[in-house]
Amino acid sequence: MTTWFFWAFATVAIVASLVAVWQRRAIVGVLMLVTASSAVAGLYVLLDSPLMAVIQLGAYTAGLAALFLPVLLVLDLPGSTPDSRAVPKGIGLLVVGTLVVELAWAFQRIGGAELPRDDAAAVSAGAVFARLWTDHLPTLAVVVLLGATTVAGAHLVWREGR
Amino acid sequence: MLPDPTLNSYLMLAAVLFAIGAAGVFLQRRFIGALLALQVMLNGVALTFVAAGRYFGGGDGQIHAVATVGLALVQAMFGLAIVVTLVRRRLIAAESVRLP
Repeated sequence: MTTWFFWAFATVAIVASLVAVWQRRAIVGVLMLVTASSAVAGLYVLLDSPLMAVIQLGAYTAGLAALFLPVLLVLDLPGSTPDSRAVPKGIGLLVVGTLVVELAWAFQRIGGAELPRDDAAAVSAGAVFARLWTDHLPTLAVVVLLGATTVAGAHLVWREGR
Repeated sequence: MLPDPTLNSYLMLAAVLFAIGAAGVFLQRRFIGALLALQVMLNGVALTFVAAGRYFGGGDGQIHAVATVGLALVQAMFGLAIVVTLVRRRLIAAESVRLP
């Protein structure tokens, strides 16, 4: 059953990501990104990381929807208006092609590694929280500080634009 | 019959998501499209952290994934603030904002 769920979530994540990136309408792109993020949350459950799945769904996916959708609706975006490219297409294709070749080479070099199946390898949400507040407190502080700074900065930018 | 997922399956999936996002960032014409592509990239990064954390044990992978999610929200927030500002000043139509 886990195998089927993995491939189902993986397929949904890839297809939704492709649509999100290459859509012509921004609203559809945001909804597809929400779908992809939800599929990734399902993968977190398969990886015995329910805390991360909850954060992915409750904070990230909901946050994205709450950030993008009102902005797009308030701005009342018109349809796609093709414009000249900021980055030449050839350079972009070259970079992406290089990345794909590099990925294929890297995954050829490493063998398949089985994930530990015992529950002992899984970490409880409480243990993650405990480590977050002890060993990784500086990381948490930096992220919170960055978030607060961004909120303040975004507010200033928004006020500047009025 | 589908093969059982291994660590490599998760890493490969994360790499594919990252590559899709990178392709979008490099090839997308619109600012909002590039923002969405960045989110797809960060989804791949977070999945890598969680899968590696599951393989090696300990909660470090999940903690770094939480940090990645936080940063993803931060950059989305700031990117959208820039879009709103530019559109309010009527400098651009939001869909046609170009990457710098």
